[in-house]
Amino acid sequence: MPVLECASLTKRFADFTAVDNVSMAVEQGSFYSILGPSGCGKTTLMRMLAGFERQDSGNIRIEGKSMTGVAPNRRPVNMVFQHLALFPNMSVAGNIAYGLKRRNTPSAERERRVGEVLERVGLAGSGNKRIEQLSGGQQQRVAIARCLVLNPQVLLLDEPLGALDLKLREHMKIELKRLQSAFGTTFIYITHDQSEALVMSDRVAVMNHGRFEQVGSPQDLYYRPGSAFVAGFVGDNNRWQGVIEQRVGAKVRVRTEQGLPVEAQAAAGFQGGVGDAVELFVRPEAIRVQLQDGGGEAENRLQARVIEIVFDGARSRLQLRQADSAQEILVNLPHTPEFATLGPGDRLYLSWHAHQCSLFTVGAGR
Amino acid sequence: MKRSQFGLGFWLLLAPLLLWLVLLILLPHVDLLLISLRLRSGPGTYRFSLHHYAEFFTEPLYWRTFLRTAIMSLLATLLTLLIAFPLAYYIAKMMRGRAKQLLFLLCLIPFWVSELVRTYGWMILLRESGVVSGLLQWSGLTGAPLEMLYNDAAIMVGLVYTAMLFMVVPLITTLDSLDDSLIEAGYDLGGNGWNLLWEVVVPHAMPGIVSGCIVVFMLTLGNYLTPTLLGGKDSLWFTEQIYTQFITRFNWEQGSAFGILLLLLSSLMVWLGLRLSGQSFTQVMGR
Repeated sequence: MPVLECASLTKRFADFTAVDNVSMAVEQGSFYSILGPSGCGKTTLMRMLAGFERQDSGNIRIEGKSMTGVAPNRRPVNMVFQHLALFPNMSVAGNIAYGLKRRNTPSAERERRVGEVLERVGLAGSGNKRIEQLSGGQQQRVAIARCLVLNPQVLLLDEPLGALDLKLREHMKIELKRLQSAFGTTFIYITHDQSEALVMSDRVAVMNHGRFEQVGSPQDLYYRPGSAFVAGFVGDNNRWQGVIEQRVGAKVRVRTEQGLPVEAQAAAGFQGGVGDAVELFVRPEAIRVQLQDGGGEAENRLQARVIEIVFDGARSRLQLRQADSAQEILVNLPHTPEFATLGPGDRLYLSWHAHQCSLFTVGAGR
Repeated sequence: MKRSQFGLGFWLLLAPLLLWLVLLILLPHVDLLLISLRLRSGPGTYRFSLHHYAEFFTEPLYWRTFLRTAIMSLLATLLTLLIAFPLAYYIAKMMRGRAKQLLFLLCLIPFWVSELVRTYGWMILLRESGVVSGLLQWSGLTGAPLEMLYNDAAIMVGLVYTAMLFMVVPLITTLDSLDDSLIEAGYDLGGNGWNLLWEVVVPHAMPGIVSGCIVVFMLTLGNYLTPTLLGGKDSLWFTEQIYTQFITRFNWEQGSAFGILLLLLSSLMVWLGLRLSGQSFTQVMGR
């Protein structure tokens, strides 16, 4: 049985629907992320789970018990806030003991449990420090320890890494995942950063305009996006508009607006027929780049010239243009030696398989 | 060449402040201290003496008035805080946007007229033939006109009313800076309204509370108008004693000693307030 279940959850603010008929089920002990751009309703959804907002309709069940009308301080969930919201007037231990005190835990046990949880998050001996003496990453761990010491059924995390710098964020991703598996607590994690969601999660729900676009494993979202929004939001993509020229079973030929013919493979349930407008996605990292025509059995093979090299270390990109169609194509710059002297105007041979394209009819679904 | 931070411009800009502090604050107080420490030994001759301070401690009227003023001021400060805190919390945390500004402005408006006028306002309300008395008679709750002026309660009402703004403003400022998510985090961890107030809201608002209390206490302690007008002859406010010594009895030495004692009292209370609340003076006054 899932530890947390939502059924047709809806929340409206005046004339704006923040959360629109969302249903979800979170398995015990899993790391569940809700990924979406800002304003997609993910924070509202989380505040409803925590009890700070009341849903207009629908139901939230935690361990089978309905949470309707249950105040935040009586729910078996705890929340790590975006800016952590540690109490500045209390020590580290005071912050962690706050929840235990509210439950009238005897002081000896309280001390033992605070010490224990501090040790488990790697902050043993920091109990007497003040909050501002800790680094950003340490404060993060205090905020999590403050919740985990209460053994919540579900821990809600509202973009807690947003305020950290890049290096620390990368480190904390691993750290959070490690903490989650060590404690075995169910985490529901809200983020607009797809990398955070992909790295840490067992399951990810992609949210847009108050609805779940797709729920699946990180691999599902990356390799088999369920909608044009997911394909565009998770990872980078070449996004081309086009029209279906030919369809034989799952084999589809699309001609892009710029006139490039692309062979694609339709996913199960793809309804588009000849003449339908579609959006086609190809990941820059899925395109093979070669200096000579290497042949091979890839369905899509073409030549293109370099327009620009966008240098970004390991994530460097080549902006290319196909000669016949003027279609612009974005590919990853391989860092092997033969590409070291590459410059604008050089000719490259590109190839990719039909099943590496994602295809969506325009206007279908949402 | 490195230019000094303390050039001519710095001193010119500082001059009005320095002049004000030295001429109007420092010199009078030094003079007050010197006058209080002398005793007339003959026509035009004085000698050093602690006589006027001894007089204060041996004459019960003096030190009892002093004590009464201090206790009444403390009480007025406490009452002001108790009334202003929920008000400030409501304005700072519950209201948003225009409503917030409007309410804040409404707190300010009574202070556009002078204290004298506001005190007369209270007299119109509270006197025997005043509005409240009239209402009570009209509704049949009392048969005869009711005098509500010239007692301690009237003084207290006037003092609290006069001081309210100086409590509300620092409280709103500090409460405004309290992050809502701290309160939510407290609820989320199992807290209820009462312990959140004591463990999260009050500690955060402490600089504002102390700052407001200090200002209100000093204003109340040194208030002359409100106790005299609302309390009448029996108000027994220490500032009246000082006035009497200077103006009526022309005993400048005694008046000066009283002035110094009042200064010592307010300094002591400020120091105590800061010590007890663990706040620093600069932090509190920066609010």
